Amino acid sequence: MEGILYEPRSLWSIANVVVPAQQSTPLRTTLNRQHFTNRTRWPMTLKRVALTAVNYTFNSLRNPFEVGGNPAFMYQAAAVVQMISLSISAPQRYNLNAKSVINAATCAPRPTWDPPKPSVLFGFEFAPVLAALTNTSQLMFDHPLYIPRTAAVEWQLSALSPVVLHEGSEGPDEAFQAPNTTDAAEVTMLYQESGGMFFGSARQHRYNPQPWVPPGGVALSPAASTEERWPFPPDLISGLDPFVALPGISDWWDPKGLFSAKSFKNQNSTRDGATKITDMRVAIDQTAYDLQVAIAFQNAYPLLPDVGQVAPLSTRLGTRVRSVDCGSGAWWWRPGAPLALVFDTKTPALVYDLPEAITLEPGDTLDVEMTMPPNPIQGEGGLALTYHIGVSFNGYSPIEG
Amino acid sequence: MDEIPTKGTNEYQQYVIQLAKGPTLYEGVVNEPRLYYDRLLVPQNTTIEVNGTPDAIYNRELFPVRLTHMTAGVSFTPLSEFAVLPSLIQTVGLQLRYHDQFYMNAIPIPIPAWSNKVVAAPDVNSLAMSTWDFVASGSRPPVLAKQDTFQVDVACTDDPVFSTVDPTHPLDVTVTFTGFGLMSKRPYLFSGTLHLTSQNTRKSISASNFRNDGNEPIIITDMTVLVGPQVIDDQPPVFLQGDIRRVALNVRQVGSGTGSWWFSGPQNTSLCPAQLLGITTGRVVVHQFPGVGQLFGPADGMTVMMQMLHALDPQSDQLTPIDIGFVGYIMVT
Repeated sequence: MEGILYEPRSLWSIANVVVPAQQSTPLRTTLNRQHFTNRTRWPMTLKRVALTAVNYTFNSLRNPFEVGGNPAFMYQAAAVVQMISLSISAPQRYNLNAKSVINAATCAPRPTWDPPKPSVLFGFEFAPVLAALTNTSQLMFDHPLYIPRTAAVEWQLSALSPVVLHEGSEGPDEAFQAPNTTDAAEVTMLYQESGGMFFGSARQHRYNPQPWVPPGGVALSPAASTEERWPFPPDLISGLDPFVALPGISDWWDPKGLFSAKSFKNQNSTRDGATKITDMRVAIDQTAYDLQVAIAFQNAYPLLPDVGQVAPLSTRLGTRVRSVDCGSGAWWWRPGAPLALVFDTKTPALVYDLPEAITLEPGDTLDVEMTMPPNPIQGEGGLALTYHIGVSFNGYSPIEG
Repeated sequence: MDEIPTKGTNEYQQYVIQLAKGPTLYEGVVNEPRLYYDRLLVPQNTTIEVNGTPDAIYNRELFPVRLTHMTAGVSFTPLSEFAVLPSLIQTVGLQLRYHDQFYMNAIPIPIPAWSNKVVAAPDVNSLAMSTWDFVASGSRPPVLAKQDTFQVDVACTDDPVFSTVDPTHPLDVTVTFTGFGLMSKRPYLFSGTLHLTSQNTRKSISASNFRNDGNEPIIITDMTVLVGPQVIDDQPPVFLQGDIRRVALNVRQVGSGTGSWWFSGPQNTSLCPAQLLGITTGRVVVHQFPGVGQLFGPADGMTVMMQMLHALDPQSDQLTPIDIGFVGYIMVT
């Protein structure tokens, strides 16, 4: 307790890149520098990089190399992240790999996710479509967060970006509603505290996330996306057909997803002194949701091959956190960061430990470039490929107490 | 917990030697791993609270035990229409009670939300193995003295009605201990495999596999259990991938040490579900208790409570079996 309070920090952005049908060379793009600038008045130490595809319905679809497999399917699932290369530099002083980009999946990411699910045994288990075995995201703080007795932390998750299917093509013209019922998934938000008589304690908030309905019921193209709300990824029928209106809420910041300062204080344990918070976790029970997605997908597209694995909802929930009555009082990261990008201890994202921590002074910035491979679907009938890839730099800021 | 040096380095060996030798030589303390286990059957059609077996999580020995981790996972269920998906653990809440105190909250918390340790091995292995690194998990490494050995008893716990294990289709279980010599620092690896040919029959892996025939004490740093794939049909061959949940086991040191079984649970059982040993690598939810864990004195115990957070099929009378374990080490003074 040296009078310094360490708050987690993250700089994040999402690259929305369209690779034209005739693109025969890798496409290099620079991410928005404003998103990687330290806009606070405290130095920021960044220790890890996280990378994930954002907002995809499926992790993977049918193997494109199987007989009858469609190569375009690969680009419509979160597995596209395997093809992304990255370069990172701080102008004038730090070049991790500024000259040559490195394929992100080859940089020895640390283990961060669940054990695999069992494969099908005797045809009785329907596990392959499920997103994960336990589906929990965790942010273990680099330094425990000591907050005074009367202070709190406010934490909110966004509405759930709905599954998008467009009308037309092979699918029937019926709304794709099943997975968007309000109780299909259940989220538990949790702070882990240390101290007290029996191990410690935890404060929790549980709710059913609701899908978000875009204004006018129209899917957001990359150009129309906002800082907090992400565009929808391509689906199996790429293009901007009319969006199927779905039940849900129009408020991106789901009121039920707010773990308020009041609720935090209500769960104060019966002991005195500061509270030592070591980590935050989010468990998402999406088993029912996944099965509904799979069934609805097969109903909507009966001509398409079997379903792949549903993506974890942590890649489709935005988040924001701040300290109340202590610390900086500022949001710990730009609001709207996908949960998988900022909760990087346990996450479906690829996470790399930087060989050396980067400290950004106030006003400092990072340059981040991303490279997409050439478009392999050439020739007549070639499709433009769209990528939505999120990248974050995670660490902490020391705040004077 | 101290900062643990990188495995394989001289610093690591010195650290582990101090960990193993220090208490024994200077304080007269013998450390041995301990694990308390239980199995709760949670009804799927209701949110009723289910308590664990009385006295399963209970220190029956005369010396204190420090608990450092908790592990939990869905038990193996028959390969039939009654199979319970392992991911159903997402719907089960958990609460611990100890002298009228709750952990982690007065309201049960979904078991996956307890997970604060990443334990997944590469996909091909993770479902079939459990690894316990005694040093990294904050336990104290046991010392295998000269001529000591381990007695390792295992059994296949398949439901007899649905089991695919028989003399022509055995299930291979391998238990491995690794460590290094106290004097020479050379690595040692003890491993034994048993072909289980019937379910629910307890058998010992030959103790000769684990005997310290050398001339120095050996510090045991890791323990691994692996259940191999099973051939269930010959023409054409059909394989079941290895599943650590199909096996239970218990271990004790023969020679020095306490001589007691390392794992204890409900009175009517004597073997611990092997998946609960996956503290370092495996397939269970692993929760590391804050700080240095909790000291359990003799006759101390706690109550485990689970419930479905929402009822699934009201017409179904199916149960979700959940294995839960509390892991630590005993300090014999």
